[in-house]
Amino acid sequence: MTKQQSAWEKVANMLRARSLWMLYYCTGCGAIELPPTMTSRFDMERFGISPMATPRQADILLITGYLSTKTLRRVIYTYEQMQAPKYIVGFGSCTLNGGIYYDSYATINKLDLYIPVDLYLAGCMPRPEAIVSGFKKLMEKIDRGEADGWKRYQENYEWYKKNQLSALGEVYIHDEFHE
Amino acid sequence: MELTGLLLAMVVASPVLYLLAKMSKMLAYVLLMIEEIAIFGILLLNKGVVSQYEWVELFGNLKLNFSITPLSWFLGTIVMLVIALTTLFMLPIKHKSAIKVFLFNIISAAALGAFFAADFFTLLIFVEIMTWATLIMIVQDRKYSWKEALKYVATGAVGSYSFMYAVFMLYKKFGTLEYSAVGQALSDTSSAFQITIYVLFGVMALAKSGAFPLHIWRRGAYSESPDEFTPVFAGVLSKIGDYVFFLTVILLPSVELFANMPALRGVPLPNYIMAALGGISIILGTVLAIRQEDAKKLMAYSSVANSGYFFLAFGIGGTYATIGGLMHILNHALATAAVFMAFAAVIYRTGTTELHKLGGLIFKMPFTFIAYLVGIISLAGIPPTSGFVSKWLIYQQLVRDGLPFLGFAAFFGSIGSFMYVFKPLTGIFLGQLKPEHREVKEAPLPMVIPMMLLTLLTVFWGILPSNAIAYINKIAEQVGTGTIEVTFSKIVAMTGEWDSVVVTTVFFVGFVIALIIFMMGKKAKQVELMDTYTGGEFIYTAELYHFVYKMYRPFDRMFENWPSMEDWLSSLSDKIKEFGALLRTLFYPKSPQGYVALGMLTLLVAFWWLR
Amino acid sequence: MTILKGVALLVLAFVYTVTLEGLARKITARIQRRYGPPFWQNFIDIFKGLTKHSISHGFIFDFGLLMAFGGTVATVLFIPAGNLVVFPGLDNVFVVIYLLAIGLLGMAMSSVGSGNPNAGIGIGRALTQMLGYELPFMIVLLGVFFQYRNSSLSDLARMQIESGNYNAIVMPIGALVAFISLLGMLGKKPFDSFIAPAEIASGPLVEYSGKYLGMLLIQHSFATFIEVGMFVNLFLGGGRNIWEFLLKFFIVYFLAVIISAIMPRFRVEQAVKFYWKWPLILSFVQVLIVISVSGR
Repeated sequence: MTKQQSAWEKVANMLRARSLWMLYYCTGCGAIELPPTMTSRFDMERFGISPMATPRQADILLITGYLSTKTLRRVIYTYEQMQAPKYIVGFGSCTLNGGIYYDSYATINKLDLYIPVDLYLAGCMPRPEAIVSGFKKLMEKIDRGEADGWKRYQENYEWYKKNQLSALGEVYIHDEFHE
Repeated sequence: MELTGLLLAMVVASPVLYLLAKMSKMLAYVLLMIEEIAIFGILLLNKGVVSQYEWVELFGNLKLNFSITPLSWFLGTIVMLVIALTTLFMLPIKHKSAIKVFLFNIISAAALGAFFAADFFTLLIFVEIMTWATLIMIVQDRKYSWKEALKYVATGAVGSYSFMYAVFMLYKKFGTLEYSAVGQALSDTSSAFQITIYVLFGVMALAKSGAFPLHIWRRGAYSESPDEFTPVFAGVLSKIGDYVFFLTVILLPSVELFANMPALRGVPLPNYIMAALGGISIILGTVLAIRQEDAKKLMAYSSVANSGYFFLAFGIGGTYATIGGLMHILNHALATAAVFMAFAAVIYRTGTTELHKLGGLIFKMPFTFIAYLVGIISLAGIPPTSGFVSKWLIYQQLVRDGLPFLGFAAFFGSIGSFMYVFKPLTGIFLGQLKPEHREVKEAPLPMVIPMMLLTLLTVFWGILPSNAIAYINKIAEQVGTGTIEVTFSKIVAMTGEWDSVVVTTVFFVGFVIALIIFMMGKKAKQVELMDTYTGGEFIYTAELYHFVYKMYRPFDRMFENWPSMEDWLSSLSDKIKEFGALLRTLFYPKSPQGYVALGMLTLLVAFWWLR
Repeated sequence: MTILKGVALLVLAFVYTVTLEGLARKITARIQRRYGPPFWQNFIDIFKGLTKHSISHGFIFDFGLLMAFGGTVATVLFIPAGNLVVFPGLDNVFVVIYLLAIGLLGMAMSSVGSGNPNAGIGIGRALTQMLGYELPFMIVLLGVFFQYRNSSLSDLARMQIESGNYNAIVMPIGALVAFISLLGMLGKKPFDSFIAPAEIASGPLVEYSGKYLGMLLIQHSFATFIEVGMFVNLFLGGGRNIWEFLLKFFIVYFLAVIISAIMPRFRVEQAVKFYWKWPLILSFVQVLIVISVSGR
């Protein structure tokens, strides 16, 4: 479906598609694929994608590989610190269906249940070519105004929150997720 | 103006206020405030008086001479301005006592007398009264302040005795002590005598102003003195040393006296040495200020650095430096008073000035923050505050004379001041708000009003420095250094001109542009201070999330191995004590008879020697 | 007329510096054998930032930013660009340096006002480093002012062009020192420890998002224009017209970029120690030469 965009939104989306600042959350094993993607061989920067240090500045949150329930809390916190419009890229099979950890008690299987993923990069591991091509897809989606995960998150917040709470289970440290 | 009458009234008022305070403290404090403001008003109304001379006969032919000249009016009015504002400031303060009112009144009378004195004897008397009153004032509030007060009085004594010695020498030689008469008479004497007088006066100036190498009293005296007194102490009382140096250099025309001495780029060697001591004070004060963890101690060292600027400016002399130095007296008095008032307000509300125990108070005490901010901007010499002009003029002189080493010190102090003034800004006002300070309120109105007045004055003389410079030009005319060209908004110096109105306007235009761009964007969501980037970690303790303790650790590490003067002095005092103990073991008689024998022996030796 | 000139200078400074920053990314990429982003990438980054949502940590966070932006915009107006001089005679170097400090102070207040300790660490490093690079720079400037008896940027540039001798040739040591100081001022490697992204999460910038970040990027471009422009006017004689100025600007900036592209990073006290060693000694040597040769 293509939504009707105003002229202002069109310009804004065009800009957003061409300047993607990325925060990568690399507790899984996928981090190793990023250095070649960023450096001389594949040079991600030519598409305007560059790494950023903090969630405040970033547009993309890149989750590489499996997420344990412990780190999921951090990811959600980080995601909520990012400023809209923001996009999530699930990297590797583990974020899709659990990958080789599909029956682990400590990891989540489907990232989409907890935070709105705009794009999945399948594979174990996806090679840099796949990453670059995936980012190109994301850029096209943003340009067309279809990458609206952040809106979905706002609209269906209760549903996401319910899933998050059920996955995280009981946590002994009290914070905004566990009153 | 009946200056003598005024001073007499103040002296008489002191015991009256003391007795009143025994009955009702608030009444005495209010009366003190009214008195000081009235005196400030009287001074202000007498702006036009160019030269007036008065005296009081004490006994015999001993007279106290006073004169009102542009110079003494300028300094006296600054002093009374700060004192009058402080008396308003201290109305709500908690530790009120009768003795404080008494001392405050005595100190203000003495300071006024010292700046209006027309001869060295009068100056000496009033400075001594001030010193001793200050000594008692320092020990009022805090428990362990005796030690620091002793440091103050011991260092002060070095200055006082050397000054006294010089005064007696002068009186013995010339029979007069009036400034101009001494200046004229001194030019006919031998150069050894001139140098002696210069050095003795210089020691006095260094000691009272707290510049290197006699700066050790400042940290303790400022941090231990009562909080409401520190603005006066730091802002104006230490200016007496700078004033003595100004007299030494300008009224005893040192550049002419030492004209046949070796000179560095037109600055005679004795003057250059004093300027160099000023330069060392700047560097030392800056480095030490950066290392402090307590706001009051930090600003005390900042005052050491700033007194260095006076010695540097008056030492090298010349039109721009003299006017810049005098201007610096004005803006340093205003800025330091404002900063210490802000600290006093913080202590009033929270009870501490240790930086790592505070934080985030900007949302609770915005007016105090503004006073502190403008004060430090002025101290760092950033336009549009009055601090810029004085530093700019001093730089002009340094460039004109081509003095790179003194220039190094001046630049060091100026850029280093960004470092140390930012530390309390971070520690007290920015950063995380401590949970125990959630209920803190803005300082009460009588505290806010003086701080805001000082802020306004600082900004006023920043936007229109020509207003102050025009008056300082009168002083320059009186003392015979050159004047500089000013128009309504412009100041013209050697290497260019400074149009403060244009620059301020441009700054506000820039600010408006920024505001327009800011307004055009989406409205920002307000978040809590604790909601910051933490690498995904959840944080709950604001205390641990406030970065100020050892903020400049990498920088400190570079100076860790510097020799510490205080350590050296304390080890010296230990050595002297050991030596005394040795003497005692050798000669200390165990019985009264021994004392009598020792006394007899001494008397016999004395008689034999005097025979 | 002054307003028109001012607007022209601001637009020029913005467009030219942001373009150059984009080019710098391209140049760095080529040195690292990458392709690099298009040269207009920085415009996209800035305007994207302005379209995004943002957060604020209270009024000082906003006010400091406005102060930083306003102070820097005001300072740009005092930089002569060739024959485009907005305030002739008032463009005193001291005024420029101290006005720029307003921007720095605003930025420092705003970022520390966010309550993030990373920002505090970054600002602490920035101020420490400032004490390092400003000292040799100011000493060299003292020599320049002593020689010309003038500190107005436009006058200095004009005098250099009229005499035909650029300061870079008359005072080569001083120019070298000033260039090294310029690297520190620009925050280029090896003197970029205060924004180190991997250690302290880009330091002062850590909490900025959306329009705040966009405005800070613009402010940074203006600051770059001021710092490089000051060097060009002081040591390379500015320019007879705008184009000559822009060309010299490009050369100086290009040099800084290629040096920073191949450098690792100093720790902050290493940077200060470095500045207080050779640049400081050399600056004193230069000033003493100037004073003894042209001493009056």
